[in-house]
Amino acid sequence: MKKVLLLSAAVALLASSCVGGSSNTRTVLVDFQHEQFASSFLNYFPNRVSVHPGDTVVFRQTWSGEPHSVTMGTYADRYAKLLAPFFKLFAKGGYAALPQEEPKNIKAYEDKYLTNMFDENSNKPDQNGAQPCFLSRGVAPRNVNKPCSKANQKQPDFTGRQSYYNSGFIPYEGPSGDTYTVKVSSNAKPGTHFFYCNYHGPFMSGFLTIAPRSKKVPSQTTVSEAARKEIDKQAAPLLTAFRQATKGQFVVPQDSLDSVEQQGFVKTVNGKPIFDGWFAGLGVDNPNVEGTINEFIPKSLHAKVGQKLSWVMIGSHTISFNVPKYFPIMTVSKDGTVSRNPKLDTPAGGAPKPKEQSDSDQSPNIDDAGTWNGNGFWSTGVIDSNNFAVVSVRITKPGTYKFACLIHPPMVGTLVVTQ
Amino acid sequence: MTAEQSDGARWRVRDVMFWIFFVAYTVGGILVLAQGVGGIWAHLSKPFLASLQLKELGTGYGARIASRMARASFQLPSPLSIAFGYAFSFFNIVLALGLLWLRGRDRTARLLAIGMVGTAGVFNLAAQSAYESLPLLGWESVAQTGAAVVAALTYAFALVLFADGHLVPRWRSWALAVLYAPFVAIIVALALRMQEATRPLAILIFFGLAVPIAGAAAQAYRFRRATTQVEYAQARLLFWALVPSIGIGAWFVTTQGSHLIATAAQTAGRGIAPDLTALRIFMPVFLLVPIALFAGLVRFRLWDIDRVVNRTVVYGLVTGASLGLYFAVLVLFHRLIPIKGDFSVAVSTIGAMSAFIPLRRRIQDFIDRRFYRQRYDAQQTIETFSSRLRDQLDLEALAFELRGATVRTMQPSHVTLLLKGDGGTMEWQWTYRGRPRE
Ligand SMILES: [Cu+2]
Repeated sequence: MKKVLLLSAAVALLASSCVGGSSNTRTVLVDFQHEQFASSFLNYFPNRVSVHPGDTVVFRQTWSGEPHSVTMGTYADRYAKLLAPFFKLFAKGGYAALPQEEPKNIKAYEDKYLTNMFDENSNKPDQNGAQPCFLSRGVAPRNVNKPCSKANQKQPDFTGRQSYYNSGFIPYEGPSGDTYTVKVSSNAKPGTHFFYCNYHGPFMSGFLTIAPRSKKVPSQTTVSEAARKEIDKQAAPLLTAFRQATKGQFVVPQDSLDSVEQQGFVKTVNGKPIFDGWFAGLGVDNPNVEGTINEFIPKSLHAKVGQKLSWVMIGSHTISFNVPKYFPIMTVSKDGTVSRNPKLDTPAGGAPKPKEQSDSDQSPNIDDAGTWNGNGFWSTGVIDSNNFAVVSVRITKPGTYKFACLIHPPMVGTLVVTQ
Repeated sequence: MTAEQSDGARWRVRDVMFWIFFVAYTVGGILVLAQGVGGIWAHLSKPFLASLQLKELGTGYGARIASRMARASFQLPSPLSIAFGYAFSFFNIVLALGLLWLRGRDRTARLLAIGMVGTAGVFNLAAQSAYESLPLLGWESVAQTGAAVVAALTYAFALVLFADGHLVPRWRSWALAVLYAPFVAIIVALALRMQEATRPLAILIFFGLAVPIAGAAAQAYRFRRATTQVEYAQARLLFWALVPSIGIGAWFVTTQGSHLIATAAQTAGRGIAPDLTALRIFMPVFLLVPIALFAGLVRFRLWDIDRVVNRTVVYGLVTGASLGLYFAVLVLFHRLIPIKGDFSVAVSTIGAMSAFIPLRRRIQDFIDRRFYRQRYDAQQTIETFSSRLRDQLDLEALAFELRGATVRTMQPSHVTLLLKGDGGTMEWQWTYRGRPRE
């Protein structure tokens, strides 16, 4: 029945798009799933787009497992002005080029005028930032448990004068992704507006320019070309790393060489230190790449009963067996409340609590996840690390098992365990 | 033969509906196949790939198609698999069109044509993996599932209706409805539960079990009740063409079914391409079915089928037995004589080879006796007849004997014997009717 409804909705959508008016649409990608490897990119592609009043901007989100928002408004615009010097630093050297401590004035501004989608400390979504909120003036509720009123959750056209214009968490609509549409009001004042993700922070961001009608704006083709250029720039180093890793030749980054060597994960091939192990997620040591590879490499493994199976884990992932049907990191309930999937964080099936690291600890996070007897749901819970983690498990029963990461849908592998 | 054929070229609503559906279904299938070709082309042409990678960033369904082809270009099956897949699809579509050209008003031929076009799409792994290179939208999975159900149902009914266009057994329509309803319900229910990960399993259940078992049962029923030689040969032809598919279907479902079902939930919603190994093996075997149906419907070489089946069974068994013997001798030699390598290999090879010819005759004999009673009997009959020939002087009795021998060995539909006698011509005419297997 649901499928039939979807079908008729698609037909209706198709019909309505054919009859549509003369206003133009420009598409901005939120995150991207690369053609050659499962990925997530903490970027908007392109990060600059120009439209006329009356046009529509479609933010097309690819579901990579990462939650995102499109957060705008005059408070966001002022935020961008404060951040201007840091954008310059970031463009040169990424996060590493930013000051260690967040500048006090910026922190104070965020606390006073902005919201977050998620609170790392309580490990819960902030309802004032995770739910949609469109205010013509004033700030969103300061109490994180208090979402904006239902009336303020109805999305008006974007005028550029609204104080707060937040999509909130763009929900999971199946693995194909979801769209968030911003209709620019026909009386919007020309100007440039900042948009950012209130989950990943102001460095996942872009600018929307409302150009006067007298000025021409780039066509969708030009916009797509700009997007592709940015994607390819971000993806090139990742693609190299991915190819090396699938061939078993991933070169260990210089700064983590010592700690990896201590763990016995290094072998030397042609004079180069190569990671000797399996990967659960992969990243590159490149300050200008805001993307990660979300795959198990290799995807199919063979092991013996009781053997210590270890993965080098780059990024935040889980290693889980006998997983239930895919469930996104956050969900929106009927009353609008956004909640985090509780299955993610809690170790399951007898796995110990994952080891945590202090923010300054750059050594690898070595996590022994114990044993699994081959029965029932088993999961490490989300393992975080500042640099990378090494996660191990022993399996005591022969069999063919599927394993997966609970966050990133394409992260699935097969493990054959024999006596 | 059927009602449709006899009432001339008048077009009825039913015909128009059929053609509209057939054209839409075929166009849909060809579009899916074309998407796979797009992926192959993108693999070969960098500029085309670049244009796809730009287009996929836009909106609308065009962006989706571009994205699929771009993704597919990086995850192509092996060239052999692509070549075989497209040959399979092309062959099925051509066969379907050919069948409609030759027997376009025959109900069975129409169902079969739809089924063949359907399998051309459903079984093409390159096209399917291109289609599934992006997680499916709701309506896309409805279309995909729907196409598979249509293919499965039309195929099943074509196999049951083959060749006279009537359902078996010859019951009243309500009784037939009661008999067939559960079957249709099972196929539809299975199809609706089908998702990315379980699709190969579902296809094997459809085309490796449900469809061929229904067909084989109907055809077995038909050849038991056949009243003419043609009917008999048609039923038999199809029955034997279905057996290998059932074998492979049963084997895969029993050995891998539970594992596939157990892990299906874990890949659900993750947009992961399923394991298609089983299908790769199944496809060439299934190809026998449309070929047999085509041959049966246009009555091409209908009479050779027994021979083909017989030969296949005999040579299959002989090969198996000789290989077994070969390895047995090899192992035995290794046990008995501690000489390594060449000598024992040579001896066992010679042993297996020398066993081959007598073995073939033995097995042929056994098969003939066991399954092809008539053929075995024919040899006996001819031997008996030639020995009688020596004793029999009465011409009329001799002619009777000859006629009997001919009927028993060759099973013609009628026999005419012309004898040049003194006083002119003597003639018997005898038309064979009834079950041939007596
Ligand atoms: Cu992950």
